[in-house]
Amino acid sequence: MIAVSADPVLREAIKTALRRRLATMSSIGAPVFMARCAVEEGEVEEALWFLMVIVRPKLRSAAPLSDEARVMSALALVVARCSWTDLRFVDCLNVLFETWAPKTHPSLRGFFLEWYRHALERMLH
Amino acid sequence: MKVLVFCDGVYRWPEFRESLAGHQVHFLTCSPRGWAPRFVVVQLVKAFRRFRPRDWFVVLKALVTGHSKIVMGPLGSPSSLAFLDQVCPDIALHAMGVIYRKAVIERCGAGILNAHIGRLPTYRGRSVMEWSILCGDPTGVTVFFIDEGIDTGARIVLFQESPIRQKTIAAAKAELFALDIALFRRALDVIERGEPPAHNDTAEGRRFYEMSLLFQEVVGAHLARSHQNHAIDS
Repeated sequence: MIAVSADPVLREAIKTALRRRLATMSSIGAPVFMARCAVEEGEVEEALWFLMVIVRPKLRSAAPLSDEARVMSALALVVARCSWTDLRFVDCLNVLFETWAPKTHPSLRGFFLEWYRHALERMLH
Repeated sequence: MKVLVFCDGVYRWPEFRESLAGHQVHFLTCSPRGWAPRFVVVQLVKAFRRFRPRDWFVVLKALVTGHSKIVMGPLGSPSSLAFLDQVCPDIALHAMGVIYRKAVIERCGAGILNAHIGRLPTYRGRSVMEWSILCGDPTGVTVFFIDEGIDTGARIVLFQESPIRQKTIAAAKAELFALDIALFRRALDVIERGEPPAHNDTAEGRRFYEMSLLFQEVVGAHLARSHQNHAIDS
């Protein structure tokens, strides 16, 4: 696996930024339990592409999501892969958080926020 | 070589033409939305700001003689394709915000060169300069032959490392983008010398996406700090 890890000089600054983001979020639901299973590398890349290229523009324009189940499954894959060895995954969640307005697909957003919070906590603790 | 430049703006024609002296240079500029008044106004305003008196003559001559063309339509339109068939370039340069379809690429001889502001094959896609900084990797520009994918073209002509000295992300990007003409010139020289291209092995890299505002803040603060330290050192 090719690492996309932080420059040691910037790692603390990234941690601080993620902590700041986490501090703005409050828990709104039950604890998150995510099954971890082995997935193909291509599947995770596809999930990242799907969220950033297909889902994000729809969230930005508050357009309907044709396949919420696929969004959930892509989110689950990306959340499970958030780590310091590939920062693209947590940044995908950062981008979605910055794009996703509270009134757009609110129930799905609730799940997303819990998973995002879970991913941030895992990376910071 | 007969070089075709896919150029966003007529206002850039003279600088390309000067830098590519010794080659036969043609330009194609497209207005993707057809006859859009905004397109015309932007072209004229930028040309008035940049052109020297003789640049107007050069541009008008290129248009009148049919060496270059402004198409009021998208790049894939019949008018654009007919112009490509007429020019029949040996090679083309990308300086236009579009994704090229097969029909266009096939009409460009050896292919279309792109100046990508990241190191290939490691950094494909968006925000690659920011990601390179975040990961502590060298910043610079790769000149490679595009294909229909996102930075997946197989042939890399050259990589020019260029450390960032600017204090903002926007200024740093502008600095790297501004290297395109000089690097295209160098790439054409490399190709003419017959040097074999390096292989853009996509398995050795990752596709990147637009960086979040949160991480952009981290990169921006790092650039500002580095710029300050550099100023103190010098």
